This record gives sequence, C-alpha cells and structure tokens, in this order.
Amino acid sequence: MSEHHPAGDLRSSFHLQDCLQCSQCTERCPSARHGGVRPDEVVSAVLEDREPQGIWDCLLCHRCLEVCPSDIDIVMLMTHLRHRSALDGVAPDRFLRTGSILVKEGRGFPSNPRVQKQREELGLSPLVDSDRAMRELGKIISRTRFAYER
Amino acid sequence: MRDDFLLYPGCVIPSKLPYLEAAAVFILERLEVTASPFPEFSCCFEPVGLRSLGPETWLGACGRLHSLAAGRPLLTLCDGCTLSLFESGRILSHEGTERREVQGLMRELNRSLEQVSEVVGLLELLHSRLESIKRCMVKKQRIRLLIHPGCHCEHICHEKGLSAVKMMEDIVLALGGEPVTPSEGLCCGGGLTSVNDALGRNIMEDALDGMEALGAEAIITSCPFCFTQFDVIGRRIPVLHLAELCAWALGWEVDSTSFHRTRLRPSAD
Repeated sequence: MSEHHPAGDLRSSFHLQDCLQCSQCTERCPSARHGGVRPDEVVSAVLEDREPQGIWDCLLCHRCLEVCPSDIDIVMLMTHLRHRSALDGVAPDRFLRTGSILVKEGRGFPSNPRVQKQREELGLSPLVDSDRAMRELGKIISRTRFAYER
Repeated sequence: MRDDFLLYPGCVIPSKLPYLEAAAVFILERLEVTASPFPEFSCCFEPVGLRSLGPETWLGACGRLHSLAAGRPLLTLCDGCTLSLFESGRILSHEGTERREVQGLMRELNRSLEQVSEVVGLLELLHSRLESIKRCMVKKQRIRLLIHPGCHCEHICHEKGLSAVKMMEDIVLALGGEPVTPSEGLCCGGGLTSVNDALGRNIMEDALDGMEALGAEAIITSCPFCFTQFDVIGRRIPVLHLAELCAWALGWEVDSTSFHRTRLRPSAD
C-alpha cells in the first residue's frame, strides 16, 4: 500500500469496519452495472490491506452514499484513494492535464478567443481573472498536495 | 432563503457554454433577482477529477470562496460547483482539524473564514420563484421533455430534503411543457470521458436507450457536464439546459440552439 493515506488511516477515518457488505452501494452504481468499479470491493480491499481496483472508473455520482445503511462516505473514500494513486504517479492523463491547466490559468476549463467573441456578442463581460486571485490560488496549491502534470 | 446572492458562474459555463450564462443573466434580470458578480473569482476544483488530485487543495480553494462570500448566499449555475461549495461548506462549518487548517491557510492570504455560505443552484432558485416565473412568462414552451437533473444535482437536493426531479417537473409544467420522468435517475457517464471512454459510452447509451423508450422530444438538464455529454458525445436526443427553456419562456430572443451540436427549438405560443 502507498505511503500516502495509509490504509489503517482510511479504515478509521471512514469507519470502514461498519461496512455490512450488503452491496447496496454496488447495486446502485452505474459504473458497476457496466463492469466498472465495484464500491463494495473497494471497501473490502482497504479493510484487507489490498490494492483497490478500478478507482478511476468511479463517476463520483454519490448514489452509493445515498443508500449506505452505515453512512460510509464512499465518495470521499474514493477521492482519497484516487489522490493517493495520483501522488504515486497513477492518474488519468485527462485529469492531470486539467490540473496543469488550472495551475497555469486559474481555471480548469479556460476560455479561448472564439468563446470570448461569443461572450461579447451575447453582451457578457470578458473573462479576466484577477492577479490577486491567481496568487492566492497558487499559494493554496503550493501549501497542499496537489497532483498535476508538471 | 436570503436573496442577496453572489453569482458564482464557475468555469465551464462562462468558458465553454457562454449562451447558458447569458440565458441565466436574462432570467435573473427578468425575475428581479439580486445577484452580484463574485469578487476575485477562482475555480472550485470540480468534484470528479480535480478534487481527486488534491482533496486538501479543493477544501482550501473552496474555503477561500466561502471566505470571500462572507456569509452571503451563493447562486451557482453549474451543479459541479454547487456540489463543491455545498460539500466544502458542510465540512468547514464544523469545528475540527480541517476547518482549522483552512483557517490557517486563509490567514496566510490575509483573509479569514468565519462562516460558510448557503449554496443555491439554479434549479432550486427557479423553483422558489415559480409564481414569479408564471407571472412574467410571455411564451409557453410546448415540448415533451425528459427530466434529467443529473447525479450531482439530485444528490445536493436529496441532502437538502428536496427532490430535484419534482422541482424540474414543476418548472417544465409551469413553462407549458410536458415532463417525462424515468423510473430511476440515469447517469450520463460524462465523468469517464477521456478516462475510460468505452465504459462511459456504455453507461450513456444505456441511459439514452431508456430515454428514447419514453418518447421525449428532448432531454432537459441543469448540469453543464450532462448537457455537453448528451449534446456532443451522445447526439441521439437533443438536450436543452434549464436556463435556455426558462429564458425563452420569459422572452429571451437568442436562438442558443445554434450553438448546440444536436439541435432542436421548441415551438412557442
């Protein structure tokens, strides 16, 4: 297991020992229905100190959260497992690229000249991010463990 | 619900789908909703990809946004932003390590985090102004619409004790349309685009099969990610954003469907 977010910490932070293995999370999961990640197996893997499979196939749709009788926050568990994986260098290129764009431009989804022209035609103000906002965001990123394509 | 909103438009709508922002601005003006521009805007680190790259970074960035709002309610146009700001607000409203760490970060920025803001998505706002919408409506939108709030919108509403599906049905009916509701919420699969395209497409096609069987003329959603997934990747059923439908009913003259990949314009009275 990774040095980031050790499994023991995740087990206690998310009180995974309360999991009833009822699999309601997996029955509601659109990814699992199509052969993607199984949330119940991810929880079992962390409990048994195994490497969870398919974490990047999770849509983070929150349906598992709504049906869990033990109120286990599977969404944030999955988020932390993904973060751990990203810090270990394993994450989808799409997300890492978006992270890199955000670091450089202050927005994960930046504009372009064509959209700026559309904005003008629609009577909207141009998108201009303030220097102060960019500086502050940069400081938050530098003080926390953000994984992105460098 | 306080009504001195700060408008938090997010990244996706202003940067990729500005006609949805224009429609929303038109609605707010027509309904006389006070919504000031958000000061010193920065990204919310949407909850699928970016939050996974740094949950602490996400909480810090959202903490900064709550700090800037200083208790004023946030009106959001994107359900990804709504979820980010709502969930971070819930974490930061409790005394604990995470709140203390974000307060420390804010001090480094010469800011303070004393309180978190209520977060209201466009669907919830419009539903709260239903009578006003009926009074101001100038063109009924007669169209059979598949109700699709989207997973994140449905979850936020669930957490608030509201039903996103019921609110969207009420709005469509009030605007003169006919709502068609699937027996369970369907996922657009958009979170997997360029991550696991085959799996994402299977999830979307399954949803579209169910939607087609219900015979709607178009899908209606309040989520820009679902909107883009169905409009650009799916391309089987036209999709309308809630802001467009409502703005047309209130007299907006822009044919925003000219920007869509999968086009349809409802007939108006």
